[in-house]
Amino acid sequence: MKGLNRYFTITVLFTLRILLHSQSINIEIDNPYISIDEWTNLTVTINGDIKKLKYTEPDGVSLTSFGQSTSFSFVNGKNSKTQSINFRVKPLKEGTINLPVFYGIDSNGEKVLSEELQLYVEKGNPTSNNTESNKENLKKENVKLFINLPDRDIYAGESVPVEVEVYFLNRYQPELKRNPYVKSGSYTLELSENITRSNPQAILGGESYHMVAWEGFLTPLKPGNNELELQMESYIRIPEGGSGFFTSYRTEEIVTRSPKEIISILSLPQEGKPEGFSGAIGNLSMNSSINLDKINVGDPVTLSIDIFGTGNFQRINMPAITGERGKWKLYPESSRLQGSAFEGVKKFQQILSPLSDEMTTLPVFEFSYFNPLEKKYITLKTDEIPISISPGVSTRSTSSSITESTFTPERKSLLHKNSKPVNDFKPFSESYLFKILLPLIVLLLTTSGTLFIITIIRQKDIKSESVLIRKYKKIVSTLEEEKNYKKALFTYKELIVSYESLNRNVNPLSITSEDLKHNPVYHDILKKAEDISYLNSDIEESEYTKLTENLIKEIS
Amino acid sequence: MKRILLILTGLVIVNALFSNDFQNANIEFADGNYNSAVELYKSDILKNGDSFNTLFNLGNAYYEAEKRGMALYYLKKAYIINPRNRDLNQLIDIVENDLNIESSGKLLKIPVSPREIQTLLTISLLLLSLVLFLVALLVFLDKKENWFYNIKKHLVISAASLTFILVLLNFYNISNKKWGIVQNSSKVLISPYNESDESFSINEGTPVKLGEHFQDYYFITDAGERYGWIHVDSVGTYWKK
Repeated sequence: MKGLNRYFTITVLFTLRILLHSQSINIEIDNPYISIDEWTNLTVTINGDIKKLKYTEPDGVSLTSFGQSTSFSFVNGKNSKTQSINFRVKPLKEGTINLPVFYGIDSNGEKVLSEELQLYVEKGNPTSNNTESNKENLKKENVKLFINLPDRDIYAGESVPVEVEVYFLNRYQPELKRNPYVKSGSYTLELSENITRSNPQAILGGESYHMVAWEGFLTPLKPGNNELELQMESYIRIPEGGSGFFTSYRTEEIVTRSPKEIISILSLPQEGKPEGFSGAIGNLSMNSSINLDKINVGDPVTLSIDIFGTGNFQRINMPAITGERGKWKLYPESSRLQGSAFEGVKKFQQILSPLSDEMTTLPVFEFSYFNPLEKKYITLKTDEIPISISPGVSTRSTSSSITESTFTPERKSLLHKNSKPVNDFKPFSESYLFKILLPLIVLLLTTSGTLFIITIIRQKDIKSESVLIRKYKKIVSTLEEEKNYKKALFTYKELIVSYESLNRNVNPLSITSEDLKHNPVYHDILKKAEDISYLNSDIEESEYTKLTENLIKEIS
Repeated sequence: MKRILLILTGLVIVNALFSNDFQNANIEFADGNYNSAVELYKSDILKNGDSFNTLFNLGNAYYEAEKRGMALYYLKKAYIINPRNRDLNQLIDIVENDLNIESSGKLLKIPVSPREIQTLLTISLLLLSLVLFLVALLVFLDKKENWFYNIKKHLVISAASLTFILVLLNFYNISNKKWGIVQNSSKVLISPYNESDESFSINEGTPVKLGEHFQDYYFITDAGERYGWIHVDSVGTYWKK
């Protein structure tokens, strides 16, 4: 009975403790200062057994729940239940907006209220829209380019994993000319090979698109509100006519830019910054090992340190030695990177040589980096690796000093006479030589070009003349074979008249033998042809041959 | 009266002689006052412009003052003026060895200065255009029976080849204009601000590729593709912008 009473008392006290345990509703907003086109997260934390959670009617904001979690704990005799609900808050107007108050009924039947928070909404930035709305705004484009950044704070110098998406309108055949690159903004962008998604089709604004994506790393170079705009060059083949196999296409080069985004880049916090911090940012781990565990004083031992994970590997330097540095001689370290500049392993090798046999462990090396997810500096240290050092004299100790020899050849130290000042560091375009010679070069090239063009035109005329002559010669040879010398003579007359009329630029009918007195060959042929025509006579073969002999020579 | 004029003229000559910064710098150098010599050589450059001998002596004075990065910078400037000077080449080798500059970072020695290449390129262009003009004229006048017309092909090919080689050398020099040299061992920062974190340290004499210029900082990339911002006072550029 006594035991039952004790059990009853404990149960009542325990129940009272639960009942008396604080039951509350806390609300927390990620960023109370946003612009009209941004959104922020609101977290509602319910401690204790609060039922019928509701909130007052939102005025000027829209709330969308996107997830919740519940946890139970039993600490120091206290049983507690915590429930978190996340809302996405999107402002609908500018100014100061009172966020809804959350309320519910606790286990005692009493009403529990959250505090009233305020949201300060500024004017929207026309270039800073979220990706979804931009996708809608760019409905009419054939190719669209977007960059997806992680939804968290970004620091200057950090290599942030990003995803770049390009959408090609399905009805055209696209072809990449140049991968996306940073058009404006102080960033560097390194992209991997483009990746194929399991479902590369997407519907944007009612149009069907084929998506190509890249994964990569974006590194902001300076803090502050920095604009980011990507650009990409591609071709699309637009069908113009025909159908099926016979379809003809027009290739159009397209330059696509991503919507401009203003990204707030943070400086690394000064607070808690380790002394040896070299700018490494990421999520990193460290391993270390040695090649020998028993050595003599002066013998070299190689310490291998691997730093691996994701981050800006270019800024990962050899971890620094700590403790009694004077007891070890350090040689220049070597390093190599396996993987990409942002993801992989950086392997360091540090050769050390003990200067005495007092030590029992290898010195500790430490490396500091900033973790952007945890928002704090983290220092990694190598293990205190045990090592056995004997006092024996190393055979290698003497060889290391050879490299420190210095050899300085003799040199002339001073020139005693001043020389003439030169203009070698000014642009050449400012020199007189350039100013004089350039117009001369241009003049010569222009004149040469003009002369070449005139010559080509003239040669074209000569070509047409020779075609004319060939044509007439063919006719004449046929007539001569037929012994029709009269007609052959008239053909020659026609050739001469045509040639002369071309040269004189006159009507061929106006040319008579009298006009060709300067050329006896032409004159005689024309005179004879006129006589034959007038007298209606014929011509002998011998006379024909005599008359045309010189002409044939000339036209050949 | 004549005596007064003579004394005045003498005073003017003496004054001109002793106000010569170059000679005064040489005296300071000879006395081992290398820092004073540096200031006087710089003053001479400021007054009279860059000259080979002043740059050579200035580089030398910096070397003696154990400022190897500054020394290498001025010696390389002198090299741009006269790359064939044996004493200069010897001194550059010494400074580069002292600074432990890797072979990839060392100066690629072309025995023709950028200005000489530009002048030769202009002259070769003139030659090429002259040959083309004469050929065009002879064809136009239909005078093809002469020695010049007979060797026209060889002349055009020679002039065009010479021009092409000089264009390539000129492009090489233009690409080098983006490079500068770290004059003092400095910190390279993540961002172009005083309070920014250090990205890495860079040794004096290291050649760096210069990028964006923001406020008092240059964005630099070294031969190992490390990058960051460095104060303009720590970097020497060769060419006037």
